Amino acid sequence: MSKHSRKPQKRQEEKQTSNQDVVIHIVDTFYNLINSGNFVGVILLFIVLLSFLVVWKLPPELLSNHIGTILKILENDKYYLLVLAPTTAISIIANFIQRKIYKTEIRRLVYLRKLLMHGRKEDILKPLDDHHPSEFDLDNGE
Amino acid sequence: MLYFNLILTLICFWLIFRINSLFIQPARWNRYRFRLFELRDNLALLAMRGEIEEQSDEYITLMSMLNKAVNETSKFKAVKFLRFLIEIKKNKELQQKLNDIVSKMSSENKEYQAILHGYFETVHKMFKDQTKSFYWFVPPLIFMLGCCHILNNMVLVLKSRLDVIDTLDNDIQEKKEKTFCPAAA
Repeated sequence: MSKHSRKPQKRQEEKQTSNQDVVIHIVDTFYNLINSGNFVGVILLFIVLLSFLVVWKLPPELLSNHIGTILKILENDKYYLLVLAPTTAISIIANFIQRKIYKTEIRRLVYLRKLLMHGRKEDILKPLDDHHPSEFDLDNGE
Repeated sequence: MLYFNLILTLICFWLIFRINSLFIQPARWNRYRFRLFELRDNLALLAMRGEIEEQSDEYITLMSMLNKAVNETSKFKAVKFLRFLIEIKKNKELQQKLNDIVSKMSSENKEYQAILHGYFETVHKMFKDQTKSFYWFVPPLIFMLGCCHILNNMVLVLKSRLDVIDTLDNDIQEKKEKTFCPAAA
């Protein structure tokens, strides 16, 4: 009887997630987040949302007393330049980086194609017996 | 005006997030992916020219390692990439094969050596890229948590992660130096 009762208990213990597993999972998620480059953005977004909430909830008299200087910047007529300029700059830089990377790869592929076509024609290159695919999923890969 | 500016700020933040995840991050990974493709093509060309046997251990091992590394670039998960490196480190058979290849290749085929060195160099760059931000955030976090004596479990996990990262770094660095060939570089 005792033998029968021990087995499911053992299985249950194996299945249970320990505190250590939870901590490891939190650390992994945190690590992936900071590495995606979005961590700094999350902090900034939090600050913006917080200021939005403060502006909404506090009466105007108190608002001008406490965070008047910050609000002066936000109320400035030219404020839109302060946020639109970096956004545009970032998108242009991203475009340049992408263009450079893809252009280099296309150039390499053009050279390789030429090499394969002439090499096969002049019998310098022999066909390979086996194909070794990477199994990289082009549709789901990012 | 105040509300308009705040909403504009939020929209701009959202746009920067989108640009980062849709364009900057994929471009960052594609740079490594294309370098791995180049190394793989160079290796296949060596075999097509008959400079290396297609059925040899050198060809099969390096081709499979390049393919695995290409596969790892499919998603931007830093932890997934670290797991891939740990798996390679723990695979004794593969480590033995790699050591054999490195010790044999010394003078024979400079081009093959350059490809092998290129593989370790690219993986090392990917590794550095992945762990750079971890070094910025984690040691101060460990210090803060350690000082406050809170979340001791998390401090332990973070410390062990740092140790693993250091070990992997040394391992790849060592292989990269062993396979360096000034003539082929």
